[in-house]
Amino acid sequence: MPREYVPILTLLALAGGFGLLTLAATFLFGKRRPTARKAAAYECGIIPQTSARGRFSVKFFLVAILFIVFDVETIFLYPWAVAFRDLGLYGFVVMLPFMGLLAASLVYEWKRGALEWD
Amino acid sequence: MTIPFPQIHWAYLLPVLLVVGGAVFVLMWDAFFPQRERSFLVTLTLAVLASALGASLAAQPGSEAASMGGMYLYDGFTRFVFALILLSSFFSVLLSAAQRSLEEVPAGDYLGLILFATSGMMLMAATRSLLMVFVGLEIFSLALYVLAGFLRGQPEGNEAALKYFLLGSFASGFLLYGMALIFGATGSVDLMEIAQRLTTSPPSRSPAFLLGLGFVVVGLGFKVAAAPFYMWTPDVYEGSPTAVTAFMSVGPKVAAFAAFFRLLLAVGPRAGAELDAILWVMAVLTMTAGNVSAIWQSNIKRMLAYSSIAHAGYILVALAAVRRGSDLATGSFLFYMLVYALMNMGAFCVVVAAGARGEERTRIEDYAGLGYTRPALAAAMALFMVSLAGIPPTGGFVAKFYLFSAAVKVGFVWLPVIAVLNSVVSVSYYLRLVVLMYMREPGEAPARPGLLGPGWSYALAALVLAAAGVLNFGIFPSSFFELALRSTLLLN
Amino acid sequence: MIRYAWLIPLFPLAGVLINGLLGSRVRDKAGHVASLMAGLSLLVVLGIAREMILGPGGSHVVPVWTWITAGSLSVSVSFLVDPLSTIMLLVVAGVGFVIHVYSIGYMHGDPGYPRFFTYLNLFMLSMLLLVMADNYLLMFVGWEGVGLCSYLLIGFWYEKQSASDAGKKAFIVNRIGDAGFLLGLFLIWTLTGSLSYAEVFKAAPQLAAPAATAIGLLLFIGAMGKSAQIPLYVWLPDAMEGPTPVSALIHAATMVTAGVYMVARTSPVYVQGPGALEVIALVGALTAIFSASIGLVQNDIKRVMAYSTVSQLGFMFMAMGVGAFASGIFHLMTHAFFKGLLFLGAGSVIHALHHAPAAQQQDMRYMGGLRSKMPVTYWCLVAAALALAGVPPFAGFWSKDEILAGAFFSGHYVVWGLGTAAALMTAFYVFRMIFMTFHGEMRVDHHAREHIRESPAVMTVPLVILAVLSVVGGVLPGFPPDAGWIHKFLAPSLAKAPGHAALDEGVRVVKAAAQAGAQGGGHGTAGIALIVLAIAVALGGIALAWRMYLRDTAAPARLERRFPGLYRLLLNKYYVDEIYQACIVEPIYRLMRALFDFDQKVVDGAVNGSSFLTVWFSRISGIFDLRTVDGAVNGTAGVIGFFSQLFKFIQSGMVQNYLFVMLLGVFLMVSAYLFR
Repeated sequence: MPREYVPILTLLALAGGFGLLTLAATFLFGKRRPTARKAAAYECGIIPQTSARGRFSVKFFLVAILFIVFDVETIFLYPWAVAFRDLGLYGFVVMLPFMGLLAASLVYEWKRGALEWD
Repeated sequence: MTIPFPQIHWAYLLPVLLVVGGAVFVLMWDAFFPQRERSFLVTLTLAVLASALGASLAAQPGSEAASMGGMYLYDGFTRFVFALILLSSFFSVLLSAAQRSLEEVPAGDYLGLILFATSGMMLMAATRSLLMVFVGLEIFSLALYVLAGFLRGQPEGNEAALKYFLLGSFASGFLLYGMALIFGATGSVDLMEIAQRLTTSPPSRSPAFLLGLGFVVVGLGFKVAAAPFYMWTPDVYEGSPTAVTAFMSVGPKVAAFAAFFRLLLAVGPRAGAELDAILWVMAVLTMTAGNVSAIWQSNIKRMLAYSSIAHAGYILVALAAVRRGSDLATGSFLFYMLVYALMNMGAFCVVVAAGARGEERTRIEDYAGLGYTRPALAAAMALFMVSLAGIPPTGGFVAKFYLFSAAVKVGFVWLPVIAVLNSVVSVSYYLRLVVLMYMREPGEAPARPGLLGPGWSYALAALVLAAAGVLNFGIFPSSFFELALRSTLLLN
Repeated sequence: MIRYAWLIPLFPLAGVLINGLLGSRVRDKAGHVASLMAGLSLLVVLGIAREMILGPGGSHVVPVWTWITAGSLSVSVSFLVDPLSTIMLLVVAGVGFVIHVYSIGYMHGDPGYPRFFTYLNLFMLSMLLLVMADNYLLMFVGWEGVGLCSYLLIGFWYEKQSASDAGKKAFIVNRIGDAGFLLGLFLIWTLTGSLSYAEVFKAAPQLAAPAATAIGLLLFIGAMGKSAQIPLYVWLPDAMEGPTPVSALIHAATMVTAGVYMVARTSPVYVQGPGALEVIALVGALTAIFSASIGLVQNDIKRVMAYSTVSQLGFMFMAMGVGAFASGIFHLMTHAFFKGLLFLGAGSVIHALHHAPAAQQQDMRYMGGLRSKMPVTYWCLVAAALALAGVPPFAGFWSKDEILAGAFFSGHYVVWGLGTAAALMTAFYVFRMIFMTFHGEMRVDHHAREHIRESPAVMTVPLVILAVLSVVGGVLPGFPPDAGWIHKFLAPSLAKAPGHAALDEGVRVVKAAAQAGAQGGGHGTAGIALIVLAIAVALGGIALAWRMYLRDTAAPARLERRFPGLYRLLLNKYYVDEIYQACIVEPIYRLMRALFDFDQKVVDGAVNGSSFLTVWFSRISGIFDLRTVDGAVNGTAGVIGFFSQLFKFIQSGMVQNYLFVMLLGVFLMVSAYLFR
């Protein structure tokens, strides 16, 4: 193995070792006096009504995924918009198919009823 | 700073554009007119694939092979691989139209996904850039994950899709990480530049580069189902709809092998002998595992899955030969893939055509006596099996002959020997099916209703095409092999 | 005429297409169609043979099309017409046609009638390709084709479990041989850069002796499988489960001689590697005596023939091994006549007995006294038996005598001794068969007796044709022995064919024997002594059979009691099948079974790990049990089973296991990479 990786390995070992050491130390020496209030999900906030492990409707996932797609689109558009003048005609033409495809997928979702809750 | 408008060879790009455009159109059409005849969309998809095939055959690769800075590369190799991919998509659309259990699925989604997968495969094969390889791979992989589980009512399908997805993501991770390491070691994702850097400075010995190369081999090895990364194959092939299985057994392999070839041609000669050993071991393991496991299968799709693993092993022989700089190997790879596509598609087509509504004939036992109940179908199956086994005068024999002789040419001795012994073993399970069809009485009453399903004409077309091709490439292979050989000339 | 050689395989191909595609239409006409096609082929062959024999001969290549081109390698579909292939064509097309005609009668009324003739035509096609090819690759096409047809025809009566088992056995054993053959082809191609006979033989003199020996041995492995030599002969006796015409055509006259033909064809390479020839001579001699001794005590009429065929093939390889290529081909030809006849005659007997209980139809202990009922069959079989025993002037005498003389004069005294002993046994067992079947009192089942009558003309005419050939087939081409016409005719193919090497030691010695014969006025002293000995051996064997089976019928039983161990050993064919079963078949079978088991998918994936552990431990303890109880053979199978359990654990259908294997592969690969 080449030499230049030695510092990285040392760092890894030190970092990991420190973490393990701290955990072990608190486990061994710390005192544990749990109370109901301490064990609550939000120790100083809203009192939980039901278990947090309930089932969600799969529609949440659908919406979430659609959201992410368009979220990424925005992230992609933002730098383009900033550099729009510099990119010139080429930048504009290249973006067209991208926008077109996204628009098409939006239309598709809409027509297939993915945006309707029921 | 303005970026100049780059020169784009529209003729070269046209095949991909056609497929992508077709995919969008099919999706949109189905979204707007879901009640329309399904056969319209099938015909449309076939037309799109055929015109893309025509476009790629018409576009003679010239000197201006690379456009967009090497992101898109259209050379003779690309052209041949495009033809292979489009052919396999064409076949799988025919099969999908013939398969009775796929009659109820939304045609637009299904066909759109097939077209998107096709475009991904094409992009993966037609590039010099590792990034585009990854993008192409993800495009077709995501489509295939969905296609594998397209029959949502079937637990096997769901299982197949989930397994394929989990393991495929894992493999993609390896691939991407490997690419990152290669980029880190050489400072480029362009295969040509990487090759140049490797010759000028010697980072080829750097562990980062070697590790990266190894990880890329793992990722691609997963896609082509090479040992020891093949374990997903039988389960996924068995669970997916037969038409999709047929697609998966050809298209992705062509694309992944094409990328593999480009990688090895660029970095192979400079990457040292370890790669030789790894490819050697992979090839031997793959073909042996595939053949030995196939022998006692009772499910025909599973048997064909193992058979396709074994064939991937044979192709890895060509890959090893390419690393040693054989000019014959690339040509024989292309020819092998062509024949393999035809005979494999043909075999799956028989599986589709033998099925009936609601029940597919997937047990090998179901084929007992097919020679008496459906003689033409059985004859076609026998032809494909004989070809898969590599018995003359079929295309399978000639293809194997080319492949192994390419390996012999570059000085491999034991690899072709092991491959020959393997193909000797493989005859037993291929011929077992033939014997079952001709030398056993049919079990219960044959499922007659499948015979004249609405998709029958599609199945017939696919069968005739495949059988004619297999025979033609067995008896008159020269002209196509010459074409395959010439397709390698513009590779670098 | 020669340039129409491509017509020869075309006719059977047409027959295959007609009978195969229109089988349900042609039905009862299938036999006539197939025979017509075989007959047309024969006509072309006869025309070509006439030109070759009367004309200047020579070697002609008839190109059809270029099949495979790969770089410098170019393989074409072209046919080679030279003396060697002419003789083979005559044998294949001639005997083939006769047997096609015979089959019309024999297979009459069989439900698979069109199927049978389709296969038979397909066989003719492949066999003709095999002998007419002008390169090894095309020969391999024919080689595979005849193997496939043999497999299909052995298992023709697939309802019979024994028949389909025999088919499988033939198939598997032949695959082992084929693997050797293919590797031999690869070696030829690597070393000479070509696969066409002309170019390979041109390059042959430059081959180093070890290379030529390696090629020769690999090819001989193929020949061992196809031509049933030790240790790959086991499939041929079982192949008698097929219909009798098939046994006659494929498993006696033509296909099984493909190996002999291949060795003769490759003679320019073989003479460069004498080591391979020595191996061939020894294997041939051992096979000859080994299977002849088994033939001594068999009771099934077809099994006697089968072991006789294996033994005679041994003789042919003996000839090849000692370098007497022409004599080997000569014996191949005469053997095709008389062995084909023996089988067809046996078929005629079986046909006559088809009202007897199934187990007795082929058992000679339930025959006897058929001479008066079936005179034509009887006399034909006697002619064939005399030919096989080597009584002059019948066909077998000329060729067999030449082989033994060749072995003697080339200094292979052990081979010669084994061959002579085998010849004695041959004369004995074939006349034992004649006497048990046709002489003595009739032991046929009473019920079947009144149904015994001579077979129809469509069956007896072929018998008579072959009988005539068995009588004159040796004298005409073989006279005078050692320097007969057939030697002169074949010489260009074997000695001076395109690119043929200089005459090798073995060939020269036979020539020397011939010269010695010429100088001594007919025969040299040693030659005369050999011939006298050969005749004495033949007559002695016949006399012994006569004494034991006609005069003193209690003698066999007495001998049986006297040497029970030897008798059982021979009757059970030296237990070779059982040994193969225990040492090879059983472990492989278990491995396959286990691999199949592990592949059974576990859909829900919730497999209890502890049950695996239990299985493992029980498996381990099971192995120890097996080790101690059943010995090493079963232990091996157990170990294989253990490993397959390990595999089963991996290919369980569970994703995490798949990932584990992938990671393991990555780990191994990376370590191979980085820490090599």
